[in-house]
Amino acid sequence: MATQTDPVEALAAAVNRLYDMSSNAAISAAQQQQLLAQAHDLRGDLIALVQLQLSAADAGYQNLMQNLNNVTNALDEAEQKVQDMINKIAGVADVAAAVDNLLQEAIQLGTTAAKLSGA
Amino acid sequence: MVKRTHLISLVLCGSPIGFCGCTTVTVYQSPVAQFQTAVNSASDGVRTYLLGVNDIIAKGNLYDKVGTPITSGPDWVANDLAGGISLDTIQLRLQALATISAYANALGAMADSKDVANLGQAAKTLGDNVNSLSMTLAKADPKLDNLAGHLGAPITSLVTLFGTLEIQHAQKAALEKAIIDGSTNVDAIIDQLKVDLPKFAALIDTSENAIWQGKLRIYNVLRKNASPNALDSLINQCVADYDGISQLRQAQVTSLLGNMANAHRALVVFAKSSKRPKDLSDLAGQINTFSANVQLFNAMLASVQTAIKASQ
Repeated sequence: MATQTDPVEALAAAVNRLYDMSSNAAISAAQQQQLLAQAHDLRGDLIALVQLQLSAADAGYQNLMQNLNNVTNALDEAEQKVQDMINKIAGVADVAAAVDNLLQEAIQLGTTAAKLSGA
Repeated sequence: MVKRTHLISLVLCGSPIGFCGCTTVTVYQSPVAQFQTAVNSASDGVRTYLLGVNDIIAKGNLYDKVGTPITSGPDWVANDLAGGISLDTIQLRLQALATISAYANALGAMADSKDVANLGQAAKTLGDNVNSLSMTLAKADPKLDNLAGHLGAPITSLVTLFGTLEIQHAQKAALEKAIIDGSTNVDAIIDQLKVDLPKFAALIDTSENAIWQGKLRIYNVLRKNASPNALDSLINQCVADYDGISQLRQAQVTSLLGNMANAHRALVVFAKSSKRPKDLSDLAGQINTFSANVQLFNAMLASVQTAIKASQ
């Protein structure tokens, strides 16, 4: 099976060859000018070809980026859950403090009530 | 006393659950942080590279016009400076790299141990509050055993121990899931970039040719009547341009992406491995190679970056 040549590489090689030939002193100035003009035109075509090939891949990038963003978002959410676990412990600590305050108040109320009934 | 016995039993029964995984998220912290740094840095380097390529294409466009007789050739227009590859196209490739960076940053955030440090503080607060609560209970009813001595300290340490382990295991599980879930997409993005970015290299070569053909043509016209100083200045400018272009030409973007792919693959293999020391050293080796490659790549582009910043 013959190896397929990358059209970008093939065209780039042709453009470079044309530029090289355009500075060859062995050929006439008119021919040099002609080769240079061809190199110029083909370089423009090469840029257009690369742009086309790159644009053709754009949709694939969008798809892959979306998929990877989904994974990243899921990871961010998981990190938030880990943070939530820590916050829950902090929350339980707050509940314990609140119950302690209530108990302290209840004890004070009980002591006051006992004093009043004794008096 | 019964409660203390329960707590000790809990510790003894719970320990195997906590340690059966053998490793926690900490084993990922260093390689993931290094991977994260290298990916972010590579992304910056590729940005400089692509913008540098477009800069050379624009120069090539102008020097191509010098190739035709300067006075009678077509007028120079703003479009000649437009580069060649649209900024949207370049931006999309940079976004793809940024997506990998965001993913690596999320891995880094998950592997980071600061949450566990926060847990330690939360556990201490819980222990202090339970301590206070048990003293209050004892004050309310002297018949109750003072639980403070039995409960306060163990609760703090138990919450820290089991909470830390549980969180580290949760972090590790989430990290491994993300590495495995993201692997196909990261590989595919890098593979696509490996196809796309060498095309820019072809444009560097041809645009460089256009620049030199034009520059030499000007040089040959000027040198006939130039003073030695003007000639020296012209030569210096040529050498400076040559250096800038050759930096870009030598920047091996394909090799950089290849090493990024290898480092990422090593991370995935490690996530699926039994985390033996050899697995870790294999991962570290690949990530070190990638990091070194990124440093070299960016050092090579340093002069190009300076030129782009100056033009901005």
